[in-house]
Amino acid sequence: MTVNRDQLIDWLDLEEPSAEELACMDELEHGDYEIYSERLRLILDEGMDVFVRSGVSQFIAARDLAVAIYTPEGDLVDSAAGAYLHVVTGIPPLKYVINNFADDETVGVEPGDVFYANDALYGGIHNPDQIAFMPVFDDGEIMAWVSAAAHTTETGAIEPGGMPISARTRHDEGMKLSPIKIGENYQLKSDMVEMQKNFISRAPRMHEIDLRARVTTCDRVRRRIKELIIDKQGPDFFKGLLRRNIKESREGAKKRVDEWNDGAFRTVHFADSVGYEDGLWRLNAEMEKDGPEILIDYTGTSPENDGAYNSQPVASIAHTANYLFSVPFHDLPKSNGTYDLIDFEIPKGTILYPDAEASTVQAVMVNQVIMDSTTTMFSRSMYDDETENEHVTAPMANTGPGYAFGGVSQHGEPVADLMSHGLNTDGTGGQARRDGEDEAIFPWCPFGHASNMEFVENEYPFTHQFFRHGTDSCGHGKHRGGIGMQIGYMMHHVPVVEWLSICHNSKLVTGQGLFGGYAPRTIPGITITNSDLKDRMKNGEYVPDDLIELLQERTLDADYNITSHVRESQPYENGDLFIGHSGGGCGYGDVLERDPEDVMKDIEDNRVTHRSADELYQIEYDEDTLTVDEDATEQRREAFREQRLEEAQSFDAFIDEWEEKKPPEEILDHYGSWPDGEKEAPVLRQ
Amino acid sequence: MVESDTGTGTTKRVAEYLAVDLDAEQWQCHNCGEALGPAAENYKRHCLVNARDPREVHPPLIEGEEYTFAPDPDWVRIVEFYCPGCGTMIENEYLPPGHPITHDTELDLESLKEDVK
Repeated sequence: MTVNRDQLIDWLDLEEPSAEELACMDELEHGDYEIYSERLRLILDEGMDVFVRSGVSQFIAARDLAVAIYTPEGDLVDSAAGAYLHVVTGIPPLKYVINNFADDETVGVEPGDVFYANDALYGGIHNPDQIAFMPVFDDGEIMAWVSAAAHTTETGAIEPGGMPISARTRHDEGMKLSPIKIGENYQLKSDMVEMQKNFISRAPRMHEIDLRARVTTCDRVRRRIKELIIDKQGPDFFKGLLRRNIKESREGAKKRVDEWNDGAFRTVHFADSVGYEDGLWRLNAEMEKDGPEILIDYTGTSPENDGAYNSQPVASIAHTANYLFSVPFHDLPKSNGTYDLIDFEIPKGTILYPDAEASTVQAVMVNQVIMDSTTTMFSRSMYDDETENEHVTAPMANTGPGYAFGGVSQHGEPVADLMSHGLNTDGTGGQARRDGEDEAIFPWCPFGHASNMEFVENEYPFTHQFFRHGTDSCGHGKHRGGIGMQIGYMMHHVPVVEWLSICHNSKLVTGQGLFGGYAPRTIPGITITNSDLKDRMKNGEYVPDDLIELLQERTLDADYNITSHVRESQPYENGDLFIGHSGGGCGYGDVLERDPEDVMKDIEDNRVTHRSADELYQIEYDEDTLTVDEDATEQRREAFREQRLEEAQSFDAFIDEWEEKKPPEEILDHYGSWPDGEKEAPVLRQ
Repeated sequence: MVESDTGTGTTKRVAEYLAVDLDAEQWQCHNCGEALGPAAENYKRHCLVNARDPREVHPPLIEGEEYTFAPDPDWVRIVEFYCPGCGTMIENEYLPPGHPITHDTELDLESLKEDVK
């Protein structure tokens, strides 16, 4: 293997600007940057719209994508997203082309060239995430690069849907392209398109449309930049504009970081699956913050495993972008000027830096702990009572419930996709000043949205039996996390459809609350088969639309299969139900400080249960009228605080007993040494 | 309830329930002023602690199944840290049984003092 992954990480730092670029930046006049950086962003936004309208897969329809512009040297200047991790992972494969192929006479870079990549080993996330990029030329000189990236939900892997749970090595993951030229002279090469469709034989139509959508987007952005900026203002102006954009991003982030508290901030997060089986593993993280500089060290993280739950190191770093670009730096240009301030230590041999042969196809599932951890460490550093603490937040759900299917549609077309409803309805975390948002967001793509259900039902062989609040699914707290949702897909029109579920969080959740808030509940995998559902619908009988009622009352005459949320691909017959959930956000602050009236409103809106109001929030109220007895509630809460102190131990007494405990050996196979998570044995891959 | 030791120095609030007395270099409970030990150490060492079965906070919703919507106590416990002065839950951690407690915040005190000046 020739890829130097340490080099890929180093490429996330800025290249040294040339004297010419700096001089061009200095030549910009007052107002130039303000006007033309906005024009650049509008061009990128237009690219996003073109992308959405040109593509067909669920992720593109849901705007889980990114359109970006880079310097001629491959540094990120700005982006429209979508999914911010895609803009970070555009840098390494682009710099790979620039450094390895640009001067290679068998490849080279010419006007109208189109490059493509989807191998995580070259700096991507995982192989469903695919990127096209094109150079922007002016008078024979490369002025910039543009890219369009999105997740396409079929890769020709050993299971449908692009993210096989059962993958054990990279060879189980399907099509993986190192950076490769697929178009010349503004045309895609037919043999390259044919090769990709041959890999993606489960859904060749979808793949070709999405591929062309990426390239169409790149070309639109390229043309707009050329016509609306370079041709109007000249190449020197454009060079200065790009450099100024990076400077604003770097300096803006630097100023903000410098204001936060210095020190060391640490988190530990746990997860419960390596893909093919349950297993405990941990992310250990320390953020050392000194003035404007940050070092994030993941030493102590569990070792790589022989399942699909590993991540390439650039993919892990890119997942910090989901938080950084959507929360503390949301108003700055999305440039790797920001990453110039942050260094990362990712030890080789960990789940975040496995052997090159490892499967990393579930990298996004692994890196939900990175998103949890980054949110918490930054929030601890930036808390300042003299500000509004508007960015201090507990982690989002970061569940990423990916439900993939494959089969033949009611139109006779082979189809395979990954549904966007669960993904785009995770709850956000409770914040310093307010609750999290309910069913709000795909944490990997803050501006995405679930696709239209009628559109889905027109294209695919199932219906949505229910899609509603997951009552009590939030992490509780002074400011609760947003709740998630529950959805039931019923197979329809066709005899059978294959489904799988890539999520975990069944034995424990990866999230941790902040400042005394609780994490959300766990999520089981639920399927309901051999049911009388269709007969009930046909006869006009009662059909339940709430999952908890369904599970507790067993309203349907059916087989109820309750397993881990991780479910390998299996067939579902006409009328069977595949159940999904998104997660709730983590809670912020002590539950006893939550305003009782807010809890009453939550009950009224079916967000939380009476049980939580009683047992967690310790509220005295009338269940019928939802009228709070304020004095009795305050007395009850004071008594509960007293009870806490009576039942608790001193730290030393607690530690004496606590250190005697240990999880069962059978769940520690993938953890590493207990409790330090160090690698104990080499990983043997099949 | 234990009477608060409110301290007398310049304090800086650094979390929802934590402040630092910069003169004495001591942690304090923001709600009641209770002293929570040297700021160079882990404030959790001076809290009262209870490791709870996660099913007390997240009740199982399905009976007789391995997966119930509640975290599995073999995998994780909820370790709660209370201010000994007022009973406020300053922080909690979801940890596998026996896993070391996290020293989550180790502030650069000299830098903090500079900021307050």
